[in-house]
Amino acid sequence: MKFEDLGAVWKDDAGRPAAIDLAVIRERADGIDRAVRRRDRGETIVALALAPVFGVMAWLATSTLSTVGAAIVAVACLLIAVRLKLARRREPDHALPAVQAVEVQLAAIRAQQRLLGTVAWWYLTPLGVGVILYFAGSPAPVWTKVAYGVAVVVLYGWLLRLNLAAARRNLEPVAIDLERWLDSFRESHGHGVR
Amino acid sequence: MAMTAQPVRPDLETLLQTHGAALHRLARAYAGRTGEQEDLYQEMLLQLWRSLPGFKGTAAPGTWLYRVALNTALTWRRRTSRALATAPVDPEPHAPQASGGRSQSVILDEFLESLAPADRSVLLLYMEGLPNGEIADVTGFTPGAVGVRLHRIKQAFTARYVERG
Repeated sequence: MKFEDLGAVWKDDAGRPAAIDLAVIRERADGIDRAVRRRDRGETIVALALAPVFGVMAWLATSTLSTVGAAIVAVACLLIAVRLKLARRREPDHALPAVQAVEVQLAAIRAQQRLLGTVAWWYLTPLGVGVILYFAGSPAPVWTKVAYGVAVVVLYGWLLRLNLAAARRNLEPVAIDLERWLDSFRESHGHGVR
Repeated sequence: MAMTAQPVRPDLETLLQTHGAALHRLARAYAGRTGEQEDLYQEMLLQLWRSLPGFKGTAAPGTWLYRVALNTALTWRRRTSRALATAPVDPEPHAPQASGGRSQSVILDEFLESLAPADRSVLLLYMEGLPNGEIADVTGFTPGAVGVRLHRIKQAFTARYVERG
């Protein structure tokens, strides 16, 4: 068999595709798009709905500490909504040339990793500090305030670990895999990539 | 006021009449001969449908179709490779052998499997009859790099399988 014959061998052997109803494909595609839109809307609504709740709590609070705490949480909710919207993982663009498509996917995975890696600063710390201050300003006994503070720190520490583990376990293998693929596309002919 | 012409979206049904068999073969190359070939082919159609609204007209409809299909296949392959990486490994990997006595399609499958992902993509598009320029548009290489890769693939194939008389 000659190299030039490969095309004919390949086309001869592979068989024809089974007839597929495009309407079914369209329905599946619409279903996926609807689910993605619903998820995105849900995330934004939850974050935005909590902001006015804590705004009212800040307004009604009887101590400065509680007012500051609730205000921090209200502002944090708005900032978190914006941050999530900006960082939302886009569907990979399959219409790009293969090399660029993999580069875009890799950049998205790295951005997700950065987001999870810094979750302590933009998510957990403002919410944690806010709720601890809010409760610290309430007329509750001191020991309950201390217990509440410790519970919040433990809970948020656990959430931080979960996020860091997710970045390490779920995203890092994908990123390494994409880098390996990119290397395969670039190897020895790196100058040949547009 | 200047008007911007909207790109005319390709008719998927017409495109599939021309290129459906090629996509099916591409699915076979990345999913193997198992039932997964049909799953991958359907996934390609799904992604084509979902990518249609984003068609900008910067590439020919055929090139656009091959890009979407190839990227879907590569994503599929990466996903299944990761799943396979956690599965038990075949203790005796099959090294490429000389062609003696085996069917041409078996040899071709074996050769495709032995290639790096990028080279496999280039060879598949070449076997579909795409010119170097279009292979370059689909993969993101320059046409020159496509030519160099094809030359190297041909050398590898010849060294392994072409019987010298």
